[in-house]
Amino acid sequence: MKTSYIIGLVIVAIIVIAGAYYYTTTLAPQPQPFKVAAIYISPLEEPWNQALHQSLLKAEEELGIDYSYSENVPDSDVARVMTQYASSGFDMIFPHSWSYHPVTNTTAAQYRNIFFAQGSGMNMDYGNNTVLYDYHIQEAAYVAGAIAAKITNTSKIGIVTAFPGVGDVDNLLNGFIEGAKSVNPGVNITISYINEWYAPSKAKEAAAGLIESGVDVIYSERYGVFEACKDSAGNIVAYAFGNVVDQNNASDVVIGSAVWDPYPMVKELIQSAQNGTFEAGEYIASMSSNTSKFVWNPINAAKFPEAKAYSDTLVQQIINGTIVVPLNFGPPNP
Amino acid sequence: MIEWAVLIGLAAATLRVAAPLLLASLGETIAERGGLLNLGIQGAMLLGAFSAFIGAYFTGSLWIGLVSAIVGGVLATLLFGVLVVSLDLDHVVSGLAINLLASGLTLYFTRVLFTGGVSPYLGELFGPLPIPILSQIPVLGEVLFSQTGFVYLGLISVPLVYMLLTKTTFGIRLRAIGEDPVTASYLGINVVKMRYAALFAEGMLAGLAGGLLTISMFNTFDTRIVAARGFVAVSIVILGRWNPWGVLAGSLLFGFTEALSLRIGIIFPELSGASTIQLFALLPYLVALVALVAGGRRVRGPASLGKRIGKQ
Repeated sequence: MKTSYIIGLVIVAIIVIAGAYYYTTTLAPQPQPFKVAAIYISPLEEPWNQALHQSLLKAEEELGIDYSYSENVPDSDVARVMTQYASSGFDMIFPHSWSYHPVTNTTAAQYRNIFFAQGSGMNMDYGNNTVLYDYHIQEAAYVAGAIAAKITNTSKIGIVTAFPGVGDVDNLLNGFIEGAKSVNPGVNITISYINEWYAPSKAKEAAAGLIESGVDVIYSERYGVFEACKDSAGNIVAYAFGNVVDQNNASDVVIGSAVWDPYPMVKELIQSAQNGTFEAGEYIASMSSNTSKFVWNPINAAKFPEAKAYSDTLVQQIINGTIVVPLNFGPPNP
Repeated sequence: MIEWAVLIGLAAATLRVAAPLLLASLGETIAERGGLLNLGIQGAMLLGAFSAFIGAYFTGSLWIGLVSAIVGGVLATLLFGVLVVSLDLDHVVSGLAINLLASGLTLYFTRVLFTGGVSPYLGELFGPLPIPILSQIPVLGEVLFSQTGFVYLGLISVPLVYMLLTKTTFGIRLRAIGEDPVTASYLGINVVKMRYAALFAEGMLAGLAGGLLTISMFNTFDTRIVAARGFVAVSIVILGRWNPWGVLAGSLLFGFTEALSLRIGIIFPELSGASTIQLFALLPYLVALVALVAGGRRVRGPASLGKRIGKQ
């Protein structure tokens, strides 16, 4: 009776000790990695999404954060998705569309201890846990415009873009136009609108129309222009620029790309949130912070050495402040 | 002043823009003549576009891409056949289900096969194929005979589909089924077999229409690549009154208005203000609406179109 009582006690003790050991080694709360979520309105392939997605993947690798995302989230659904992230332990949320902005405002007011980085939107009001950012690559577009004016043989330049009257897109077009006119004030610039965000077939047709009218360099604000730049024999009849993401390997008609690289911003936001120095406000991309870049396609850098050298000087002047390319959200005036 | 080259370009562009619509709506015409209202053609085009890109990318051969486009399209329409012909389910619901399935599957496999949200590019595309001698004819040569193989295929398919439907036993039987499948089966026509055959033909054409987008027009795949072309194709069939020649006219109408709206800043620079551009973008739909209202009241489709057979 007594022995069995002792054996029983020992068994209980072993279970308690083993349980405690198991709890402290595996079940006890571990320091959680910093959790970041991004919400995209369209598929990841959209350059605007792709740029942030790549940066957050890089942050996962280099900063050890935990990254999740939802794509194809329509405006009508974003409140649910955002609340779900906010209430399940995420530390920072990137609502990556201007149309999410009202939902971001209400969610950020509700979840004060979570950080929000709202992707684009204009004249928005934001709480002290929210940053507003956008792809201000008008400096890179300016460099592209200057190169376009340097290499055109017909003095006719084209732009293929989505919708008229979208401020943050117009900002890029204005940069491009200003850059082209800085080289040749009399250069002829035609803008073609395709009235869709993603429609490579329309962009291709719009580009074909521009080329038939004598244009030989095109700023491809949307996908689809490059495929129109060669004739049926495969000869290059026009050159083009990529936009937002590096599209230089898409085709040898690409002179270079005006690139938005949000990684320096992503890194700064995450680190400031981690060490308690996060400040609400607007994050403006620029060449000097390396968030805006002009990246030459090596094939064409070799083909146009003079334009390449000229663009290098321009980049230096923009970085050291000799040339200022202002933010300009007004309608473009080519 | 409008330059001659721009006008010739506009005419050639009309055919290029019309090609995927023409191929798809010819396919839909065959199916609808057999009484099958296949809204799943949108999904068939998407699967065709996806499998064409995957086939061409992983083998490095555009021709294999072309074959896989057909396979992708046929798989989608045959699945529609299983639901609608074999199981006698609702046409509209089955078609929409196939569209959802296709968009989910293609997104899923894109994410599995390619990381980082970047689909790779194809090194080459099916480009324009100028026909020797004929392409030298002034104007006509540039407009008609310097196109891609897909455009020629679409144009040649018009008389072929017309003959198939009106001059062959197959076509006459198929149209009989489209009017009244029960009576047709009493007359000894194998309704199930005939309808599967019609869907097979539709799948080939829809697959090619989708494949054109990823291996001839553009060099990468995106789940948005088909846009609403499948649904536009269905409305072109109605606009064209289930007749291949009418379908050709409808496709050219859509092709022309879209090509024009994309060149408006070049042809009429003074009209390129923001609001005019929006107006031109809705031109194709406006024209279709007017055409439907003007001629639509006299239109009667196949009597059994979209109807379930039910227990007999």
